[in-house]
Amino acid sequence: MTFLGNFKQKLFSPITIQKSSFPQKLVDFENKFKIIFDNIDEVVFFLDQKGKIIDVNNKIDDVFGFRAAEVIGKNFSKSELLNLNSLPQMVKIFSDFIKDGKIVKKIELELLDKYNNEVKVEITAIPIEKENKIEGQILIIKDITKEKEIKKKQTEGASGLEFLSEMAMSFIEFPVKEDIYSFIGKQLRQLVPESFIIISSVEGPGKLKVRAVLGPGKRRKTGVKILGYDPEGMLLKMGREAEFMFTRGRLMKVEGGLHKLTYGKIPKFAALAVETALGLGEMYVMGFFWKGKLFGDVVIILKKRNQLTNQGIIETFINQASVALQRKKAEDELQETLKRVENEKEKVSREKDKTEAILYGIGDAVCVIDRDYQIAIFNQAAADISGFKPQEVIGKNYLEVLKLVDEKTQKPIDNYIKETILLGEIKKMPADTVLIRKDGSQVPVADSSAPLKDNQGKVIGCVIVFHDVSQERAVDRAKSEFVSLASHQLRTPLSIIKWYAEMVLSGDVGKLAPDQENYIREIYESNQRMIELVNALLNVSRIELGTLAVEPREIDLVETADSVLKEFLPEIGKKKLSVEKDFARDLPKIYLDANLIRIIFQNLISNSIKYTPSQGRISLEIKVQKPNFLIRVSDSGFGIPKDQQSKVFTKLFRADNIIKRETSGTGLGLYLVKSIVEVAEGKIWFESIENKGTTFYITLPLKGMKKIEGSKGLTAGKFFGN
Amino acid sequence: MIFQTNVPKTQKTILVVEDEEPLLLVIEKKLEASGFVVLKAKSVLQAISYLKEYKNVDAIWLDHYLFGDEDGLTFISQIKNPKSLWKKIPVFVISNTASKDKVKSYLRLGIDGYYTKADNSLDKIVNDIKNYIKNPK
Repeated sequence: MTFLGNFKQKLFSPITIQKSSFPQKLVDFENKFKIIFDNIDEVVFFLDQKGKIIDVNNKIDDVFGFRAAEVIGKNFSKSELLNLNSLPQMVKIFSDFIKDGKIVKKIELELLDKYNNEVKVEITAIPIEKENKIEGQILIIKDITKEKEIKKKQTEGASGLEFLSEMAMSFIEFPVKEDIYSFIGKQLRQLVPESFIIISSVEGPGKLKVRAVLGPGKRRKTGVKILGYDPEGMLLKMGREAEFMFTRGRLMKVEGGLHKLTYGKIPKFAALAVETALGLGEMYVMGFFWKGKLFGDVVIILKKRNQLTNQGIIETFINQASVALQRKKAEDELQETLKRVENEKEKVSREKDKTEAILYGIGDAVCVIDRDYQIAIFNQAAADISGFKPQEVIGKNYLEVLKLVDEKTQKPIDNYIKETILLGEIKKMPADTVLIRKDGSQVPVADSSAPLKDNQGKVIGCVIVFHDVSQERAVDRAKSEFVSLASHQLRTPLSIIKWYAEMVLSGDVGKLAPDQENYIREIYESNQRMIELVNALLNVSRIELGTLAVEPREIDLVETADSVLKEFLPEIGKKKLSVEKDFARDLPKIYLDANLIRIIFQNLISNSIKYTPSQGRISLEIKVQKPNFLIRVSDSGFGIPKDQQSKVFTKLFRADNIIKRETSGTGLGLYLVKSIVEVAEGKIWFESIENKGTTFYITLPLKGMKKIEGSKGLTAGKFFGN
Repeated sequence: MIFQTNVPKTQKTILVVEDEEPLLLVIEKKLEASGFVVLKAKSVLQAISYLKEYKNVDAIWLDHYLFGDEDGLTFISQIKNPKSLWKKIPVFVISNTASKDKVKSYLRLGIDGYYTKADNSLDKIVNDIKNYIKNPK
């Protein structure tokens, strides 16, 4: 025990102070006592037997932040000094007292100061006895935190570098999950215990974002709020004064405290008031710098003055923290970039997988070549058709692999691929292309090649797509052969009858009696109908089998109409029909297949003639009605009954009113005309009143027809022989 | 049938290549009535042997479908061969075949007329041939 302790002991061991017995001496004594009482280093409490604080010296303010008046009268065990953790020990002290009045010496406890900070203390409790009754106790409380601090600082001073190197290590092994600002704050608090630490980052010109707030006790958040900081990291505007506070790498003490560092949010007087209320002692500020530029700051607030003794170490630490923060930023950015690269790789890989899956799956052969005609992609279908494995061909010139020749001439075909690359246009494979497989056998192929272009539209390669058409070609050939054979087989006997009848009728095999002539003529006419029917059937079959070939060229519609009319002159003459022509002047030419347009005119005119009684009227009109040509063929004939008009364009249909009157007619003509008009992308319709007449209208686009590859043209033969 | 190795110059000789017997007969009749000397062949083989025998054939009437393995096209390609002795003889294809491809092939090989039997009268065809020989184009 110290000297003072002894003195106290002596002073306060069982003596009851009676004011009346020793008046002056007592007063002196009291005064002396008071002086001592007030100036010793420990906090001394006088408690009654129930634990109520009767008196306490002013040291309580220094150690615990309370003024004597604030605690006198309160029960010690219910005071704010008591730490919940320490309660059991306090209870023990009291109970021991009550039991056997023992002196309890130097118990180490933690009590709380006014700001809820923990204060490490050593308590000595001395009972006050009177006549063997415990009347109260004296608690002598010594603040030992300082002692501990001093010890720490001593060791620190010696091994400051050690400490820093430890810090450095911890930065290297920086725990990823924890926020780096909190981490820095925590380390800093080890250097400056009992401090309030606020770390912010510069988010923009004059804008700070609070990143971490650390401090002792529960009042931390409230305190921070009062200080004008939003603990959740709200951006604060830096006051002008504040900007001056940050000097390069120097921990600056802010004289005048917080109010000097007003961040534009707290008025000066308010800041002052807050400072006083919280009992703030000192404030230090230092900026985080990187390459000479400020990017954040640290504010250290201490309750007591002159507590900072390791300024140098703190500065060094904060500088290291700057480096760590920058490193973390760089790491984060790197992570982001890596993540983005990974994502891109993922995307590309998925795209690649998708593309590969598509290429593998589609039935068509796909071969992609680059600008130098080397094979870059060769899918499974291409391998199957050509006989080459994809691995064998990648990188080779495509001509070594895709040997395309014309089926008939065996001449190599590759112009269309060259054109695709040079002109940058999609080109079709010529008809009758065959591919020579690896084993030398030939397979008919068809399709096209398309250019591959980069972002700037430059041709960087070409995609050649093709498929095995042997099946299709075989079917096509079969169809063509069928129609060809059918036409030949059907027509041969018809031709024989035609010419034999012709010979007889012409008198080349002898003279005929009138009856004989009529009969033979009947045979001839009937035969002609058959020929007509066969022609029509062959045309229909070609359209339906899809073997129709369309070879458009420049056609003068008027010329064609006139030529067809000429064909029918005999019939027109026989029936004494009048023909009106209304052809517009200077009509442009139209791009049409000559045969097909001829068939249209032949059918319409032939119908008009057939179904108009003698001395009737036929009229034709051709004009331009943008964007089409309009053709009109009218007659004053039998017309089409209303209830049968819907069937007019159907195959083999002949209306009732003309079947009785006119035996010839296949019922195929209008079906054929409509089919042709549709191939030409035109329209056909009619108006008709029974026994008055019929008018057919056809529109054909001015731009004409497209060429269609096919093997068959339609027959525009003559319907009436000579 | 008339075998004549020396034909008077005023009469023209025409080789008819056609496999249908009735047609051959009626064609022959008409041609003779028009003043032609008619040679009839049913196959390419036959036709070629006639050409070899009769030096002065003035025209050929050719059908497409013929007896044997070879058809009209084969015949044409043979006689229109640059080295052929008969490449200058006018050829008229009279057939019932409807294939546009075939017509194109004939035209490419160099024929002087194409007629569909069913659509043309015998009279017209014979007259056209006659006029053509008189005024070859």
